[in-house]
Amino acid sequence: MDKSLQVICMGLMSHFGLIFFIYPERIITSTHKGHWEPILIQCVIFILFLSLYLKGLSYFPEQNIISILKILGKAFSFTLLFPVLLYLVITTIELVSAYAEVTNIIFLANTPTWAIITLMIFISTYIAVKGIETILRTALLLFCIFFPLILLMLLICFQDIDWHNAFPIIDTDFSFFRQPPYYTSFFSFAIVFSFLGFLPKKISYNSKKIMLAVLFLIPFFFLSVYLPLLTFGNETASTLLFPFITTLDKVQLQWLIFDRATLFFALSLVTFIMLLTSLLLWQSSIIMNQYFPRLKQKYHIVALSVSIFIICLCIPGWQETEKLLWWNTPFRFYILIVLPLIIFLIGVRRKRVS
Amino acid sequence: MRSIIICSKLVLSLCILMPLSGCWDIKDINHRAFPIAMGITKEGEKFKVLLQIPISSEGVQKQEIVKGTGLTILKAVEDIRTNMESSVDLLHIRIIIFDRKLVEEGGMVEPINTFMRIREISSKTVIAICDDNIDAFFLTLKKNLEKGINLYEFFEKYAGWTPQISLTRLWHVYRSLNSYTQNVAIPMVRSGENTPVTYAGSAVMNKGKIVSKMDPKETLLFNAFHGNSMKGRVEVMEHATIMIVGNTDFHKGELRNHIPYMFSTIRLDVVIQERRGKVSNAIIKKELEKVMANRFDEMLKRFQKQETDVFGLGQYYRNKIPYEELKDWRKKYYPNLEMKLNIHTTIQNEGNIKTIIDK
Repeated sequence: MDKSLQVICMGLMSHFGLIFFIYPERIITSTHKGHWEPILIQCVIFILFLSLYLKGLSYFPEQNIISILKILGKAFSFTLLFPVLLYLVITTIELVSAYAEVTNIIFLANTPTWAIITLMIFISTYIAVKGIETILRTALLLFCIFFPLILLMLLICFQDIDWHNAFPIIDTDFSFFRQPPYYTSFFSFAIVFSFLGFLPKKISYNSKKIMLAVLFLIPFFFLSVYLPLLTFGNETASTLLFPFITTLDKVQLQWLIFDRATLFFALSLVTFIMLLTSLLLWQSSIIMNQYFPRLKQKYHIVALSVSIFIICLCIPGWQETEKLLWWNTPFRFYILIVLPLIIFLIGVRRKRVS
Repeated sequence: MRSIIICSKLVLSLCILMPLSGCWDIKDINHRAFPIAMGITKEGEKFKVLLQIPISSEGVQKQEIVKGTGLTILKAVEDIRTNMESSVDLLHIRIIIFDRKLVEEGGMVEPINTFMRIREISSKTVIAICDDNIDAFFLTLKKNLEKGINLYEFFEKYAGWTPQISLTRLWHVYRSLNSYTQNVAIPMVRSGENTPVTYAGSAVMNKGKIVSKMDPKETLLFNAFHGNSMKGRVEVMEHATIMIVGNTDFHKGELRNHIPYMFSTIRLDVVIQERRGKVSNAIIKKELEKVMANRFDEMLKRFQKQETDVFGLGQYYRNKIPYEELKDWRKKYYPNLEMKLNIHTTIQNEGNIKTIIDK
């Protein structure tokens, strides 16, 4: 059955969750002029390799990534999948600890972090244990509830923008390539759509529709960076930890019922992240299943989430989370660039043989 | 066996309800105080913080002014917290008033940065400067407020704000502390006799210090320049009294030989309300345009001398001056700026009485 809509909702939603918190700060730190250039380059890379990935997967309509890689032999598939597993697990740790910290900074100042982490992991694990179909259905539901809210919040952010702040618009020396924050900002691109390769064959999707949805997503990357930039100007925006959240915070609307619109915005994004976490848990459990096939999948998920929980507790603060983001960079490019290439090449070779 | 499992599952899921109360270390609303206004001054090395807390008991609104001192702002607030019987929540502060003395000494930067850093205080909070003794100001304020007037409504666009008041929020001030090309004007207030406050013009800031002043009339023009509505403002001149009913503005910047030129147009729609003697509309128009243009020029010259760009003129040169040089906008370019301001007036109508001018 065609489940494109659910798959698209899942993808868009997770991206929204990733775009608005950390991403704008990374881009604004990495350059001080022509911010559209780094974003555009990222988008092009993203679209290019996603289409390669989809093309590669389309050569094997009945198989998921695990069985595709098995064509190369068991040892090969084990080594190729190991970085993926590592990336999935580390990303989950990052997501949980970063968003617990965000929740703490933004609205639950008195709540200890471990309580927030427990809540996030507990809910994600529960959803992940129920399987991929539950995850996708929940995605559709949450998307319908929260997406209009997010659009509204984006619209009201246009309140005090000054277009002059977009200048200087051209950056000729591409200095952002030398900035570590730029490479960590790929965080918002890499992870989400890798789940397409893990879907069982009963969940089918239309590649064209997915590419269209991704095109629809691109403007949001620009908005998340440019809205704070146009309101505050580069000099001020670069001093903020969550530029977009601060921009939303300063919106003054008499007719809006909530005094602090940010709260609702941040909460809806945190729910998105919870669902993404459960998706990542589910993906990593599938890979784990390859290594330890005797254990049932749900025990894998529980074991993973317990270990993730323990590691999250060991992360003391925001700086360590940022460090983790940086260490993870090689794996990020592996999953963003190398994995789609491998799948694509296997697909092409197989087509030539047959 | 199955029913036992179902039962235990039910009990377990009921347990999940417990954390749903959601709040950690919850404090009942009866035991929390929500100050609305904050006053900040300095006593020697220490900050002194005054909080105005409304207390409603048995349907009667009462006001309480509490004070605390400390080496930092938050230490002073902590001081108040320790001495109060209920916990103090800064979430609902709507206005922060700085003592003029403190601002003149440049002590504003640190508190503004603190307020932006902690999320308790909203970045929408209005900032004002007190031109009086701040203790006396809060005392009179308390008396006036008990008559049922709210201080912050003085500054709200939906209530008491008029275009002669500069409306400056916390994030505006924070932005001006960092920006290369924008400065900020902060409203100054004194205690009033029957009203909560008297407006005393605006303080023009540079790097967190007062460098110049704008009187209410100049502030009006300042607001018009930023495209804020001047609707309903009455302007008294030699030959007539007019009311402004609409305004639009347009600005264009040019850079020739490193000298910035600025071409601005402000269009005013006016209604004539009073006429002294028999003067033609053309004269009234000319007079108004002259009055406004002169006022603006004088103001700009003053600010250029002080290197403070409250109009945000530098914004128009962001695409013309390389970013690395923009840092020196206020020092190198701004003092040489040449302004050509055109004020176009349209007389929309003249009220109920026709004007007949003898030829």
